[in-house]
Amino acid sequence: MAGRAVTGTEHGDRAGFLAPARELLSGGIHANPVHAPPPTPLPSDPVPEARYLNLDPGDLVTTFADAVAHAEGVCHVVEGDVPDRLLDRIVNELDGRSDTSVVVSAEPEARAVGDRLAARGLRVAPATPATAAAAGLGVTSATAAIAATGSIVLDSRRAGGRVGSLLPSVHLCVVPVNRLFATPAEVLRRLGSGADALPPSLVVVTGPSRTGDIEQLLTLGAHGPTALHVVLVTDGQRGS
Amino acid sequence: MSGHHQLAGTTLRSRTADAVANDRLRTNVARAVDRFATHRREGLGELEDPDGLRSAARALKQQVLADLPGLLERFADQVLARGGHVCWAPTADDARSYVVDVVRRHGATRVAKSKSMATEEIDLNTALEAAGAQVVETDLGEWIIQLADETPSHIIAPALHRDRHQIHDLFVDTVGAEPALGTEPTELVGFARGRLREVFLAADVGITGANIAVAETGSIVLVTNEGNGRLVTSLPPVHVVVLGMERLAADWAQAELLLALLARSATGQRLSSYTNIVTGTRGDGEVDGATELHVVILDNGRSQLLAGEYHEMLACIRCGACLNVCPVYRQVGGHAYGWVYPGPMGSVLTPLLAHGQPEAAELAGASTLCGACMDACPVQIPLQDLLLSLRRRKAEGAGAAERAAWAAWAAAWSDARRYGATTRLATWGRIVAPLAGRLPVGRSWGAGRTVPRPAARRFRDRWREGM
Amino acid sequence: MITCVVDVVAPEVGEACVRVLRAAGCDVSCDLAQTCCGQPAWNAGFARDAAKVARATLGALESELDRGAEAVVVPAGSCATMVRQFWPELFDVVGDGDAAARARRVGAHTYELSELLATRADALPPLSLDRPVRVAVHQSCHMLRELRIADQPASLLEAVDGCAPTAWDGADRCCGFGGTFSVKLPEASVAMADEKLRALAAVEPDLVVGCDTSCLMHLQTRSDATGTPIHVRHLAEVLAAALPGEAEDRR
Repeated sequence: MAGRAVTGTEHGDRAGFLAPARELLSGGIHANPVHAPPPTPLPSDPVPEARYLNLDPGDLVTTFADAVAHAEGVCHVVEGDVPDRLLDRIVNELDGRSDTSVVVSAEPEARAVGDRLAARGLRVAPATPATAAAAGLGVTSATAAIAATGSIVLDSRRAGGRVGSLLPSVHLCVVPVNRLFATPAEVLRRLGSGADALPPSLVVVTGPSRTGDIEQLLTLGAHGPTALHVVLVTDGQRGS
Repeated sequence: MSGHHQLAGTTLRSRTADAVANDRLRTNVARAVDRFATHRREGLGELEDPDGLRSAARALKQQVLADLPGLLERFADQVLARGGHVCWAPTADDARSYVVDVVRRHGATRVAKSKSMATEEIDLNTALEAAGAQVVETDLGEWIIQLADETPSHIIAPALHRDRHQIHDLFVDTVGAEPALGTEPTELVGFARGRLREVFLAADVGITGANIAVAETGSIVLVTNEGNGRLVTSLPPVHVVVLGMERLAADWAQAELLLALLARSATGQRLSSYTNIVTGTRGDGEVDGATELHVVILDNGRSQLLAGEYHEMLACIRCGACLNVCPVYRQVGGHAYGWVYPGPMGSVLTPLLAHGQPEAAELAGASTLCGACMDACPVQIPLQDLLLSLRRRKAEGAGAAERAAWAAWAAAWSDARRYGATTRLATWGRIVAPLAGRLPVGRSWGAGRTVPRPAARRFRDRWREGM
Repeated sequence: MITCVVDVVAPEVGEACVRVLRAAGCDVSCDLAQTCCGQPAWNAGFARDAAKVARATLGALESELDRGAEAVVVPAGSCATMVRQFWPELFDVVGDGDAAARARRVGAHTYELSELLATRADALPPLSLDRPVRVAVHQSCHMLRELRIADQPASLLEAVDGCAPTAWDGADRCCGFGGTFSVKLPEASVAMADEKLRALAAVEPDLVVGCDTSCLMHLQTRSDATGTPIHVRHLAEVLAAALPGEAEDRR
């Protein structure tokens, strides 16, 4: 990681902490006689991947759009670029609200939308804790989108931070279709094996913030955004 | 209801009796668990061969536990390489001291917490408050019970024993909400959002648990629906993680399979709203994120369970699926279990981790051994077998009366003639059955049920006579 | 295998079981050296006491198999589970490897009643009740989740002319008996029974039928105490009443 060569410090006694565990494990592990565990996989056996009945491998775009809606998000599938009518709609919705400012992440897709919104008269600023806390809308892109679950993956290194997608009550995420993957496994299982170290924060976002803590009734907008709009930008061809 | 767990000084029977007498509680609990259980079935129903995945998850957890010391070393090295600090905490006290020390060193007075059962287990909040910090729980359900000075009644939905009116009144009574605040969930949640937003923005230290710690990359995975996990790990300059030593995955393939099962098992969602992967501290050029990360690796009795009869209990991913199908939990809710962990998993963990509390042992009896929990567990923990093991352990310390009763029964019924004699007495007992109601056992049965009468002629009598 | 509960409290269930098995073409024997499967002590954690008792029954059942019996039939799901699933562990736990091996052999030939009858359904004569009877089937936990016997009781009842099994909420939820649970946590036990009884009241069955007398007794005695009694029958009793030549079904 650029510029960060500092190692953390260790407290307590590592060897002493692990000694009891090592001791007990050296004697072999008790196997339940009635409900026996499955045979231990060999190191070479892959961990099975889930297969999703709602996934149409031939039409990831529709799968994704449906899944975003299932998770209480809104998905707009557009061709080429974020359309003007969508930006106009956003401007209209923000107009008249007390928190009419917009923050954008460092991602080029987000900056581009930000510029167009500024041209329409909105206050647009780069996302920081201060600006995002006062904003009604946060615009970001995503490092990936996941069709089977309707998720977007936010990378703090790409975005320059996290608050843009977290503090404003509406989150708009613009992601090109060439970053749409079929399953979480395709995105998550390659973490750590690539050349790039993981960013400080990688968040798989699936719908807006919610809680069921009041009588198990779904209420959106607990602490994070109340609404999530995902704009999936295609190049005119459905599928990946 | 006190903010401290009720285990000490009460009995399982008294706690369950109180709970079933509370109709409002029973209604709330039944509604909640039914919803979770239904959604779980629907969520898992979207996967091909969910039982095959559960079996694979059980197997991978076995691998993790078998290699736990090595994986913990790898995890710790990765955290250190990314600039995070690691504390090895064999006891609850070691963990508390370290965290209090971090908070003190920063002169921190405001601590924001994301839900963590490990921190409840070690009663971290009490220690922080004693050190002069103000600790605010940010998970809505946890905030509610904190305000009410109660303990959680469910591991996913801590405040499910309270309905909207109770929550409204609580907000008015404790944090100055206007009485005119509505009781619609959206209004109550909106109120909480506003109040807790201030907490996130002002906090000096954020404390979380971890759903999964991934050894391969030294990452912490924190799963929430509300977003409080993200806020607590993004805004305060210091982030402290309290991690149960067993909550590891070796690599991202293992972590991903667990994530595929976790949300579906807990609430039926495909994924929770936020699966937050934290690796190291704030990056260069990033405007937020903690600049200081501490990971406290907690033992507190877990290592003692490795390799022995209770080994598989360490596979638990704290999803709550077992609670949602338990017919006993359904009637009594979480407080009746008396400690941090309720339901079937709590009946096993409490006797194992609440060491030094003699009242913990009877938790193993909070079950009819119906097996529904085993069918629901995403990592196929053989909970029923663990409960039976715990009962055997408890029986070793049983009182003389109970031991004598079973010994007498065994002496009588280990031989057909003596069995015949004692059961013939039972048929005479038809006449004296009302007297049986005077014995403690008879009283316990008879309070609410009629007492069954033995038959005049037993089956074996009729068989002998010719059938 | 009689089971102690049937022997002492519900011998008519045992009689019905014998009649139905004979009607299905089976030769029925019963070695009275058996006593109990030991489950009450096993569930309470007193393994040594459980093993002492189980050994007597193990010996009796083993003798039957030695004398040519092909199957051990148990009119109680939880006892069948004890013999098949838990006896080997029980004997291993108390260090009696020899009995554990013998238990495995006996277990391999042990069946819960509906489980066996379902495989011999064709051998049964046509079954009919002289009055239509609405039946709610209670699924006992051990046979359902350990032995995986789910559909057999209902399908046997469906084949009885006049018998209409009806679905009901929580049919597979535990009734709250749980052996010593019923007397150690009686308030919770009764609350669990009440939930089942409420669900039954919603479908108003004529009979509540199950394969475990303990469960049925628990529900019956609670319903009697609350003044809204249900009528329980063991599956064997319903089938026996439906055999040709029975004068009436017993209500």
